[in-house]
Amino acid sequence: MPTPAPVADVLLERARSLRRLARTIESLDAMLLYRRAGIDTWIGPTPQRCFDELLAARSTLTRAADELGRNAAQLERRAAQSRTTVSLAGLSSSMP
Amino acid sequence: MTGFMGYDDERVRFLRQATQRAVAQLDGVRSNDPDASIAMSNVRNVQRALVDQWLPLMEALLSCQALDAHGPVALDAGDLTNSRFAVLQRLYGWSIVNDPLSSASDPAITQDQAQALGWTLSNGQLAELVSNDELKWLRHTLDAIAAQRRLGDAFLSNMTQHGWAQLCNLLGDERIRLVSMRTVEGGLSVDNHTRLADIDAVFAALGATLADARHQSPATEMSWLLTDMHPYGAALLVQHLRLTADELVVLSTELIARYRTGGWADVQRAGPGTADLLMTTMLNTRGAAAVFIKRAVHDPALLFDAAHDSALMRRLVILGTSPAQMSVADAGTVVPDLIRYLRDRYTPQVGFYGQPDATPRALAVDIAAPWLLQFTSVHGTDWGFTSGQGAQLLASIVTDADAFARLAVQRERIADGFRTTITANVADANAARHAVHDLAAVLALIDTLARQQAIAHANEAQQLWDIGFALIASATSMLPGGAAATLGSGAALVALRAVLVREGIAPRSPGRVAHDTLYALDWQTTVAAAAVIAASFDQMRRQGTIPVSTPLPPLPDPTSPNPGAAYSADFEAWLDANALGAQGVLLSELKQTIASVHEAERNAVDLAA
Repeated sequence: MPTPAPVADVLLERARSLRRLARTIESLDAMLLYRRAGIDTWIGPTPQRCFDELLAARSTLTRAADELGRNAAQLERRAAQSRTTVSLAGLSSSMP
Repeated sequence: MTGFMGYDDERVRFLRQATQRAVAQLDGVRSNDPDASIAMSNVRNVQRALVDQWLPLMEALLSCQALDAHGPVALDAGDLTNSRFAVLQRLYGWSIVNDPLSSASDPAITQDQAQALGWTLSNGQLAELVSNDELKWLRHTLDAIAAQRRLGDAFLSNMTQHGWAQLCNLLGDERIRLVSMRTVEGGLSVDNHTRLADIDAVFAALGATLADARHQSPATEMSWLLTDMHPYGAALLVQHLRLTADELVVLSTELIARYRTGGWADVQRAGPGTADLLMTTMLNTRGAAAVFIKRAVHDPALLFDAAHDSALMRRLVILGTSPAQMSVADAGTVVPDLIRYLRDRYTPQVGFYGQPDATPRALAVDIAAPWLLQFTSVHGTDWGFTSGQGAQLLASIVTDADAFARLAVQRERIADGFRTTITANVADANAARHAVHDLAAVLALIDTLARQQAIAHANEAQQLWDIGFALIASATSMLPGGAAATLGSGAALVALRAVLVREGIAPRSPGRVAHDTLYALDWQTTVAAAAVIAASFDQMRRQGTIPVSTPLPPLPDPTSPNPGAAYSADFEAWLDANALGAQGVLLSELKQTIASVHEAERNAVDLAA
């Protein structure tokens, strides 16, 4: 009879990996690049567009990190369900 | 629509380094997990934008490529539309280059833009502000600045006294040219029409910005408007400052005085000048007209010899000296002096803009009209006249039929002034008696003026009649019984008017007044007494203090050679025939009051003359 533990472990390992990735994204220099592109650095329509896009990039990366967190949480729930299912199956098979 | 990009070399260098680091970090972000695919796609999009679009721009600016794609530009210090770039280049050593990627749309106005505009206006030479595009840009920018407090503060922080003067003088003189052209030629081209509207909008925005700043700091000194700025430009600005009446008058007095020293662009140009702008503003500011006149009485030329539009000046004078704006005491310090100035010292300069279309004496009559009561000896003490002095002063300006006609057509103003005075003492227990006294006094004064002019024409007699009835209407509101009594509202008054009209009574009939002014005086007194009695009678009957069945009081007999005496006899007989008790005594007193005061006043005036 195959042991279910590795499935849950794989899911948890994937979740941990996604959370690490989210933290990495959150700490990217690109998140704060817009601060260096303000009107004390350059002005004009094009620099303004650059500033706006860098600000938008920050939002994009933040959303990406959030999504990774949500996906990790989902994997963790699936791992927990998997463990519960296996435990119940073990109990059932051991009953007379 | 700048077409420029400005940057600080050092900071762009830092930005480039940070961007390169960010790209390297983004490149190191990797994941094969299917649940990370969307996130990774977003990461790559950000990385691609940095690598493909923004790093090349930074590289270009910082390398010799800038000379090709982004040619360097040297901006003029007075370049308004590019003032933001010019200031950074001139004061902060920034590089300014052409920006081939810039869009044609106006960028939003920023604080540094507002500051830069203030600096440029204060430090650049604005002689080049001639194009409509520049003016339109300035209007747009100043509108935005006026709409946001923080932008206004930024703008004002860099505006110097010289900057204000330079801009307002330039635009003010241009406005004078355009308005003069419009006045002389009857219109403007579409371009010039737009230009004029833009100039007005610029002043409105400048004024609104200043007014907001003053609202935050009410003690802000405004006297700088008086130093470097031409009076016309300052007047355009003052229009929008939302000043109190006192503040406005202080500035206006000084500006008009400066304008009168001469040498300004608006002197003897067609269209409104400095004083016209300020007088219009004062007319639109509650209480300002009276405050200004009280100041100008010490130098009446500020009032009478400053505006290009004499009708506007007259409106200001009429409003500022009206009983609605000025107390009796204040008017006493102003009205006699203005009348004497117009009578003795004012000489219109023929051929110049702003000369009154009426004679100085006619204007003096306009000023006097609502204050006739104060010229009588009954109220002589109001203004410090000794016996007959007031009547003499009035008679010295009502010197011909035209002046009398001018007085007569203002019967509504006469009645308004009369009403103001008699209702001021409404709490007085003897208010009704005083009102009748006052009525008699003014009627006598008018009688005297009329006789002085030897009224012989029906229309003038008609005017006398109209003045009399306007005053009687005012006085009857003060009669016993309260304000409900109005002329023509009761049976006795209706009967009185009916018989007067039917009989073509003296002033309505040229024949009757022309041959005997004394008859007219007697008649006027009689009509006044009869009107007062009729109004009081109606009121008493309405209140039930006399029986409803009481016969109507007698009416003047227009066919009698002595209408006053005949009416008195009829009235006494009517009183004897009807036992009216205390009410009868009151009616008798009223009748006697108006007749005797009228005669006494007339005699006093005659004696003084």
